[in-house]
Order: sequence, then structure tokens, then C-alpha cells
Amino acid sequence: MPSSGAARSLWLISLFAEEAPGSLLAWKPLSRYTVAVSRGLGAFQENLVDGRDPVPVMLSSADVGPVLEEVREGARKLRSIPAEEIIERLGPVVSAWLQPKSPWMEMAQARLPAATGFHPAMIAHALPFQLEALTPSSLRLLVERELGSLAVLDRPDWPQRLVVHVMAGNIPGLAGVTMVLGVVAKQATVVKPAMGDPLFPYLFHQSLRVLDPDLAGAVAVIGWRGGSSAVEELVFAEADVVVAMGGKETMSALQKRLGRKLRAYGPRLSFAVIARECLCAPGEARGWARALAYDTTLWDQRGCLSPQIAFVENGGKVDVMGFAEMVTSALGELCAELPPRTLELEEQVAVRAFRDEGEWDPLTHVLASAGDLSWTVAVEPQPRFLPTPQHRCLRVQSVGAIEEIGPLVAPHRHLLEGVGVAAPPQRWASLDRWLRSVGVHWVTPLGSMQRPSLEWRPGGRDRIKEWV
Amino acid sequence: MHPVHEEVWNFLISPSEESFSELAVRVFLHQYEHISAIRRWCDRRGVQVDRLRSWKDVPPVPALAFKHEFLCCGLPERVFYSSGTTRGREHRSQHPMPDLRLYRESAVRGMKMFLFPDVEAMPIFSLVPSAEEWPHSSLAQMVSWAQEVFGTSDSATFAREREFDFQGLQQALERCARSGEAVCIMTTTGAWIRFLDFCRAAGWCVRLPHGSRLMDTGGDKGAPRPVSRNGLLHATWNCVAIPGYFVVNEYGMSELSSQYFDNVIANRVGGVFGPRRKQAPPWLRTRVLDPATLSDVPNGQVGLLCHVDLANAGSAVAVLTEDLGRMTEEGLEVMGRAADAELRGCSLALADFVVR
Repeated sequence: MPSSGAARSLWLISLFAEEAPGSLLAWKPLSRYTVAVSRGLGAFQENLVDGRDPVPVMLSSADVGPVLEEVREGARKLRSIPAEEIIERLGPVVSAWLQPKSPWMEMAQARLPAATGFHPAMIAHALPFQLEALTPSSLRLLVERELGSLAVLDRPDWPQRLVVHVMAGNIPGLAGVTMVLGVVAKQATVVKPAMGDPLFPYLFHQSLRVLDPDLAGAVAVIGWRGGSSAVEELVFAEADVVVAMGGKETMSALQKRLGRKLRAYGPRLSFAVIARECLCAPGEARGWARALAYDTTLWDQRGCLSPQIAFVENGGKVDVMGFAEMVTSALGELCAELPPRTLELEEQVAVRAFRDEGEWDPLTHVLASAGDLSWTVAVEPQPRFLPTPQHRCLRVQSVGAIEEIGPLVAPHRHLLEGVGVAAPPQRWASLDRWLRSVGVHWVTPLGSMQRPSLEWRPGGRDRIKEWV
Repeated sequence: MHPVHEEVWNFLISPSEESFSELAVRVFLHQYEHISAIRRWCDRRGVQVDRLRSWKDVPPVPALAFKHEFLCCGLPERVFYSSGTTRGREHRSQHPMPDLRLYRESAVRGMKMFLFPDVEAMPIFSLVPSAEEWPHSSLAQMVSWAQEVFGTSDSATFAREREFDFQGLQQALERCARSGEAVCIMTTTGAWIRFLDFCRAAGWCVRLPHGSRLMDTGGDKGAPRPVSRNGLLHATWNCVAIPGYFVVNEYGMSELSSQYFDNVIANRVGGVFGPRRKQAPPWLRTRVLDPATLSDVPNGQVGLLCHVDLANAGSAVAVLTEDLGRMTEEGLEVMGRAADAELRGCSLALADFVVR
């Protein structure tokens, strides 16, 4: 008579065996890490089977010490594998996610909506973007750019650290990038999933374990409730570096506790600029409006690369109001294709307040979806640099020339991240230079803001070099 | 006094359940007629003012409209400003009142119902600067009226613009403890937490006579640290021996002329057994709305609070807040400001953004 635990493991076996023959062999023999993780996964899978919202797996502090030791050991084993080979071996892992009918992707698509709140269509559409950037060639380029050459990673004196990543929950999928880069850099990598995305890190790590257990050995996913649990104390004490993304309060709380260990990626703001040349033909203007709406729609504007303000240059045939109307019709269409998350009450109130604020400002014109809070565009006469509450809320402002926003953004230089640009080719180079000079780290054509390549340096900082 | 204001005045003196709805509509129509900003806003939204039948039909003006517009029927006798710039907006709220008598009558009658139902007068010690010092604070004005109407001659204020006289308050409380005279303390929650910390550091406590009471308001804005309601009740008992059923939290906004109060004293005096909830005088009613559609949610469900306050006859009778709460049989439960919730992730939150 199989116990429920045994039934669960059988289910687990069939889950992975079916899709990846021989994957059972990939499970490490009963090390304590496996026990700890599979114990965690047990609870986790149980929730999956029941169709309940998955919750982060909570390990006890007694489990954590051995897990950290095993991750360190896993990273030490990476020393004997040349970096080139690691990058080559990561290729199939990423491909396993991106290939048509990928079982991993299908599982993510089935489960992430409940775990994150995003609409299934949004997950299906946008989740691959995070992973597409992780090609072997771009990984090689990243290492060469930051360290000079791949060979640096193979030197005996290349430092190995225990790097703990505290993920932000705004966009699922980011943990994939983190784990891949951690393996490439041969660091012992611990990922703490966010409450807003409790599932993807486990799934991605699982795919790594199934497809390349040696590489997966240098990575662990450990969930704990942020704040000051015993697990957190232990992990932070053992960590050499803690990489954390999140809001201002979380960052300052971590800063107090971790000091120089912390690599903080605080809140950021991205925007869009639209050159007058792109507004000369209504057809072209409509194309750029759709591009802006698309960047706003992806991940419901929760990314740090999501535009919150669009500065529109005067002097084209289509004026700012006309352009805003084009944006709204595109936002409406995109709502049908990529429906918004169900907003929590507080979020609904924030959107409501954003609309009310615009409606009562005599100079502002608010265009908003009727009957719900799906999208809001506030057309503001004076350019001002102020974020929106997210959730597809956009400020559209008219400026004489793009460069006029310089003084506006200057006081907020430390908050700038990316800019989506709509401009003719002849202005591109000078705009790119100018935007970087005012503190922007990622300049990209409008419509591609949410598909950053590894060339993007978040916060203007190196990725791998920051850890060592 | 304008005839409509006079009707409201009469309602405050002798409220009648049935006439609330009709009067709310009439007050709104009066505002529609006299305040061009409200008229423009309604016309733009296609509000058919001649079709309004009940108090729930009155279109609620968002509280933040008080930041952009001077909402006043006629010349203001006094303008109150909000203290908070919690969301880093450029403007503070301004609430002009053409006739201060309505505010006074509403506040005094509300306090009688929920703070002083059992006493005529007692010493009132305040940790809110006086109305003379803070003429633009509606809270300071309310506390000053409380001292005027319900306070004995020993009443005193232990706060100046930027400093508290905690020692002075301690001495005054000690005097009451000796004489056996019950006392009322009126304070912001933040100042009270500071006082409790001050007393604990000095190892000071006092046993105030039975019947002594505390009114706190404003959440822990300006407090050195956040304290839960139960923590506050506990610490208050330990420090001054005022029991929880004599601690009344007031919920008000500078955009309103009437307030909600914890029902604990009213319940005790009226012999009612029930949970701690917020109740208001009959001229203030509250709708709980779905933020997406602005339609009423079923009783007991959490939503956005919209207050209809007849005493706001001179400005906007229906005010849409950014507060979440729910209505139950026993009264209102306020969950707090929605804007205080921290956004997830690395994208910049509006609340994090401080305009310099």
C-alpha cells in the first residue's frame, strides 16, 4: 500500500521521466541536498497536483547549512570544466525551454498564471524573452566584455564566492538569467524566489538538474520569508555577496544588515522618446504608437524597463493628442491579446487615483478604458518627470525637442534605466549618445524595451564582475 | 446662512433618518450650482444632475480634487490644509469652509456622542498645538473646540509648533491622579507613541482615575516606530491605566467636516456588547465601493471608502478617499491607506518618488 508520499514521488518520477528519458539518473543519489530539496519539492508538487497556488518551499534552518555546503562543493567541481564547455553545455538547457512544445515551458505556462497573477497569454508570450538572450555567443561576449577573455574564468585564481540572489517578484523568468550567469561565472549560486514569482526559479533549476546535473549542483533555490527568519540569518551570514532587487524600503533594510556584501538594485524608471520625424505620416505614427503600447503592456508595466512616460516631440504632422489617441487604441487592442492581471485592491485604488489626479488637473487630459481599469493614458501639457502607478498607466507629454528633457531628468539620474527610442536613423547615434550622457543605461528601439540583450548593464553595472 | 446650509444645520440639531438622502442630493445640487469646478467636472462626465434621487447617486469628488481646486460655495470663513504629503504630490489639500459653524456643530456633537456621552466636562489635555498656533489645522481646531465645550478650566495644551512638553503633561496627569478627577487626553497617534516611549525611558507611570479617556487620531504618521492597535492599548494601560474601552481612535480627514470614532465608550455607556468599530454621527454616511467600477460592494466586503458628509455643505458633500475599509452591522472598519502598500519589484513606485 503506497503511502501518499510514495504516490507523490511516483507522480514526480512520471512527470520528469516522461519528458526526459533517463532523467531519473540525473537525480543525485540521496545526498542531504537532494533530501532537503525533494522534501521541499514534495510540498511544492503537492500543491501543483492539487491545483492550488504554489507557495515558496520553506526549508528549516537545520536544512540550510548542508545545502549551502553542497552548493559550494558543486561550484568547486565547476573548476575542472572549461568555461567554453560550460557555455556550450548551457545551450541545450536554454533550448529545452525555447523549443516548440517544450515541456518545461508548457509547465511554466500552466502554473505561472496562478503563481504570479499574470494572464496565461502574457506568460506564453513574454516568458521566452528572458531566456532568448542567453545564447552561447552572447554569453561569450558578455564574459569577454567584462573580464577580457573566457580564459579568466578557468584560471586557478578565479575567485569563487557564495552569491545569494534575492529576486524581485515583478517579472517571472529573471531567475533563469541569474542561474545561467552564475554557472558561467562558476560561482556558488543561491536564488531566493520572490513572493510574486515563487515558482519559476524551482522549475528552471529543475530543468538544469535534469539536463545537466553537474552544472545544476552549483545552484540552489531556497525560499524563506523575507525579513529576519533564522534561515535568512544563516544564508546571509554564509554569503559572500548578496545581490538584491526590490523597492526602496527593502533595499535600505538590507543595506543596514549587509553593508558591503550587498549589491543593491533599487527601483528604476524607464521612459520613451518619440522624434517628430516619426510623426509625419499617420501610418508610421500609428506603428510607433503600437510599439509604445506594446512595451507598456508587456508584464503589465511592472518591469524596470517598462516605459512610464512618453516624451513626444512637437512639429510632426500628428500632434501629441493625436499620438496619444493612437496609443490608446493600441492599448485597447493589446488588452484583448494580452489581458491584464487581476489587480489587487490597493493597485486598483492607485490606478483610480492616477485617473482622478489627471481629471482634476485642469490642463491634463485623461484617456482611459471604460468600465474597468485596464489602461490609462494621461496627456499632460507640461513635461514633468513623474512615475505612474504601473498597471498600463502612461503619461504622454509634449516637448519642443527631446534634448529639452535634460534638466527634467538630471535630478533623477540615479533612477534612470532604459529608454525606448522612436527616431529616424540619422538621429539615432546622437540621441543614443545624449541619453547615455544623462544617465540612461539601455537605449533600444521602441517596441523592444522588454527584450533586453545581455548587453544591457542593469543599473549601469557589470553583471558577473560585480559578484567577484 | 444659505438656506441649504440652514437645512443641514437643522439636521445636525435633530437628525432624521429619512431626510438624509434627499438633503444630500439638495446639498450636492447647491454645490453644483455654486462651484464651477464641480459643475465642469460633472458636465464633462455626463452626470445628469436632474436624475439624482438618492444620496448614493451623488457623484463623489475624489479627495485629491481638494489639491487642485478651491471647492467653496461662496467666500471662505477659514481654509484648512492637510498636513500630509504622503504621496509626494506638489500640493497640500485645502478645505475652505464658508461657514465654520457647521464644522463646529458637527465636531462637537460627534464628540459628545462618542467621547463624552457620560460626562458634562472634564480636564482635557492636548498634545495637538492649539488652534491659535495652527489656525489651518482642522484637527487643532477640533481639539480647541473640545476644550472650550467639554473642558474644565484645568484643561491645557502641551504641544507647541515643533516640541512637546511631555514633562508638563506628566505633572498635570499626576495632579489628576492625586485629586481623583478623571481626565481626557487628545493627541495624534504619533505624539502618543512618543509620549509612551518617553515615559518608559524615564520609568514613569501613573494611575489615572476611572473614567479617564484617550482620543488618538492620524495613524502612526510621524511616529518613531509603527505600533499595532493592541500594542498601543496595552502600553496605554501600562503607562496611564486608561483601559482599552476608554481609548477612542478618531478617523477623520481634512477634506471632511465630520468624523468617525471608535464605538467603545458609546457602547459601554449604552450597555451594548459589540466589537470595536468606527461609528459616525447620522449626518455622515459611508459607501464602500469597487475601485474599478465605483459601484457599491456587498456589506462586509473590503472596498474603497466614499463618505457623504452633510456638514460638508460648503465644499463637496461626497468625498472619495484612497482608504480601504469595510462596513459591517456594528460599524466601519478602516484598513488604511491603499497608497501605503509597497509595490513589488524593481520598477519605481510612485510612493518612492519624492519631488524635491
